[in-house]
Amino acid sequence: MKSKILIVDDETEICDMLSRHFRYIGYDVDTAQDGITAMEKLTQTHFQIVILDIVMPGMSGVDVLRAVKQQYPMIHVIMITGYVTLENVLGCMRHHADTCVFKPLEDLTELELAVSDAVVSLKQWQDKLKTLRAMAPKYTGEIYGR
Amino acid sequence: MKILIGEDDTSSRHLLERMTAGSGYEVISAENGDKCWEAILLERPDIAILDWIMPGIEGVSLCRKIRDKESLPYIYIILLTCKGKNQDILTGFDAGADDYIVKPFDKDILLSRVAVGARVVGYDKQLTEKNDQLQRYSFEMKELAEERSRQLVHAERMATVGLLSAGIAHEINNPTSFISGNIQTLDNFWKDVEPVLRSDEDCGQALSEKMNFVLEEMPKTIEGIRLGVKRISKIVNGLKGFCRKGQENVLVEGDVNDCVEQSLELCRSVLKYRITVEKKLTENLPRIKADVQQIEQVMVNLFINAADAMGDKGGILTIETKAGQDCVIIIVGDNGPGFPEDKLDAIKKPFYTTKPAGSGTGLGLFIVRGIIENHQGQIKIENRPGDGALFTITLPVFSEGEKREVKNTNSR
Repeated sequence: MKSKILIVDDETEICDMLSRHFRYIGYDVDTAQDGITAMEKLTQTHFQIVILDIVMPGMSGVDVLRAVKQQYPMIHVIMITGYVTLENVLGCMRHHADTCVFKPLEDLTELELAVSDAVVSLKQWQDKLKTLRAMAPKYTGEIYGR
Repeated sequence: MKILIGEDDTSSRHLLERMTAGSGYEVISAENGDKCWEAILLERPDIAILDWIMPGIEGVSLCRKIRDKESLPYIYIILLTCKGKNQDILTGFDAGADDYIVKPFDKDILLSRVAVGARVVGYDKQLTEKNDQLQRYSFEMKELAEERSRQLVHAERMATVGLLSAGIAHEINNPTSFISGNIQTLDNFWKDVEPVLRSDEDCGQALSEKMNFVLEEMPKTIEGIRLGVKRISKIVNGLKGFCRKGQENVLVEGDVNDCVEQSLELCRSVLKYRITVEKKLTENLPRIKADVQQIEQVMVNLFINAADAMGDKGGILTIETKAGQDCVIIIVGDNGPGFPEDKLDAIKKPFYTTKPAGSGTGLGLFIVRGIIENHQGQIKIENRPGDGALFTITLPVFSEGEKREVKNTNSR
């Protein structure tokens, strides 16, 4: 099953470019231009990964990061930013972003790698859950998680 | 010293003339008050010996007239009088006389008093000259202050441009991102399209030729765009780094050759058409501990100055780097007109510039020296034998275990 990525950046062209790129290499992609739309989309669809711009009008990238981690702790968030300040990067670390990729995105392989690392990590957890189910059938029933 | 003798009695006048001329003074005489006044205006005597009683304007009145005329330089006035009473003496001084001699007088005493007058006039002349000098100096200072203020305004404006450039550099990142990203996607697309295109033998002759052309040229086209984006990024990064506020004073291990290349990149537009750059960069130079941004600022300054010196007809900019005794040496030369020998000292002072108002601040070399000195380095400015200017900079090598503090230039 294809992994789903939500791309959040106030610059439409960047959303389009990243969407095209990741769809071509085999992911399902949706985009949002601001934090509020992003949070709405997250309630409607189950995304595995969010690629998030730090500097946005309204809800800032770090605000969105915090909200996502609060409500959907299993979603991997990868930050992208053109404004490389120490403050920004520390904010990303503090709120448990997977990593931060700096613009201009001259080499998308760094982003691709971050996404595939996230996919691998998620798959590891899925495998663990499968193994658990196999190990103790009487505890099957509702396994929390989605 | 010029003396005017105002005495209507002929023999007395001649006597006075002989006495004073005999002591080496330049003497003019007049036999009445009116002629005295004429002589004063025309001849400008320094000392006047005036008889109290004269036809025409009297001595005392003449005194007052002289003192009232502001445009006259100071004249030392000695009144000759047979009146000896106190009231008369007071009247004389009141009118502005400096001294009085009661007739008949002693020759030596007269001459002594004339000598006093000469001394007083001497003092007055010195004072006037010093005053004039001071006025001239104050005028020069005022002009200088105005010039400085204009330069500061200009420097301020340039600083704002720097700030704006930093913002613009950030802005350029976004479009650069999506150009670059799309190119990578295009590259991916092409990898899949290419084999299909190659294997399709079914299109007509004309189309087939076109398709061959596309197959041939597509990778280069994509690469061309990619290189363009790379160059934009490099320029923008250089600009961002350059415009960063210099208060952080980040000391890093720096490679001088990298600084040279980065600085050349920044100056590319200035150097492009008219200037040939000859680089002699020694490889694997020991590293220096420096605020790399400041070292780049130094180099950019020198390169731009060289380009300006060489003017419209252009020339050759030579850049050489090599290792020295515990130091790294950077030599920048041009084949412009060089510096006038007598100005080699003045160029190190702040605000020295030969550029017309509004172009350049004159702060360049001064700041350059400040930066080099703060890095415990040295800079030598000299004329190259033949033509052009030569700047030799030495910067100490960073050695392990040695703590060196680099003072913040901005805190001067």
